[in-house]
Amino acid sequence: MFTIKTFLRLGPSAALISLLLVGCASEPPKELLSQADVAIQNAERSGAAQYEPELLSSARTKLDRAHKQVDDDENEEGARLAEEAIAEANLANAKAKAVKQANETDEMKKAIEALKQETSR
Amino acid sequence: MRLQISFQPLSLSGIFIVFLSMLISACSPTPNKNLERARADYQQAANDPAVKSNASADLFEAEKTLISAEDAWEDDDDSDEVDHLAYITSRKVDLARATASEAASKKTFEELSAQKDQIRLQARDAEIAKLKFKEVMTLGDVLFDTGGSNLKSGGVQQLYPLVDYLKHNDKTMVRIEGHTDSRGSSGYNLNLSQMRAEAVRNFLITSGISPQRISAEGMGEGSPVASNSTSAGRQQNRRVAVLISESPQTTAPSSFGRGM
Repeated sequence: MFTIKTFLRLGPSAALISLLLVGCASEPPKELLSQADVAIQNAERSGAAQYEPELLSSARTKLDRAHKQVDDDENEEGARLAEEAIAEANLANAKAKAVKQANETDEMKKAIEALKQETSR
Repeated sequence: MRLQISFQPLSLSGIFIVFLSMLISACSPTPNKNLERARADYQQAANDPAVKSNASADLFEAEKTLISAEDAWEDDDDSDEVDHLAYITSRKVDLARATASEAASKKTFEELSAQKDQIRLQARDAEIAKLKFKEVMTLGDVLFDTGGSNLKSGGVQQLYPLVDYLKHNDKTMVRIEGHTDSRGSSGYNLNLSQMRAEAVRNFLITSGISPQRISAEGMGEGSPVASNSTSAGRQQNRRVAVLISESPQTTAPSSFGRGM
């Protein structure tokens, strides 16, 4: 991890070089873009369109914006947007699963109540 | 003149240190709201025992991102990067909460599911207990070899009429009881009679009779029909009794065997 102390220990020239690097050394974040794509597909499969539509559409929007930023060579901003799209899609996926599980559990509770009534007659 | 003198001792590295500390001081005094919120989100989730036990991996991922956010805030003046990492941290904390909630819900579901099976089983047993069974056939000891529980082919032939009957009367319940003579220990005999009753039950199942309709029980040596002191009596005691429910299953509740 690059802390201030590391900068100082490496000396000013290293600090200068790394400052320069941060400024320009960004490749298109292809890996992140495809990860975001996969995360969105996973969320869709879990029913996020039904259970977490806002989160899912926010993830889609961010991925679209990420592609546009990358097209404009704004790779750093593109990477951030892709990362946020991934986080949102993963969250939509987990929330959809949690809601589905909660629904199943509720159904089971009702089924047991019905069964109890039926068998106590 | 004074200005010139004061600048002289500064080396190149000194200038950079000044430059870096200016960068740091530029962001240090005003706390980043998003980072503070991410920190609070994380702490709250990390202190929640349900999240800690059910979503520790997700929590760890959130923690890693939080550390990056803290580092970015300490090292950098780019508030966009700090905001970005803080946002990701908060979403990862939400993810951990969702995972924990799903796990807790699933656990409840499984407990209820076991409870449901139990209720059904009890209902089924209660229904069977209510039924009146009459013995329709007694299969002699030709069904099995001594001490064995594999059906002999000669014995199987005796069961064909029963299979036929059950297929034509599909509401009838059937009860298989295994009995032995008194030779050998009672535990051994109980076990043997149970295995023999099960063997007949399994034969009926493979012949296409629904398992729901058949119960099988080993009665051991406790219900002799003849004296165990003669070999003819003992032979009579070694038997499998087949009992069928007297009335068809018209009165059974609709829950009977449903969905099983």
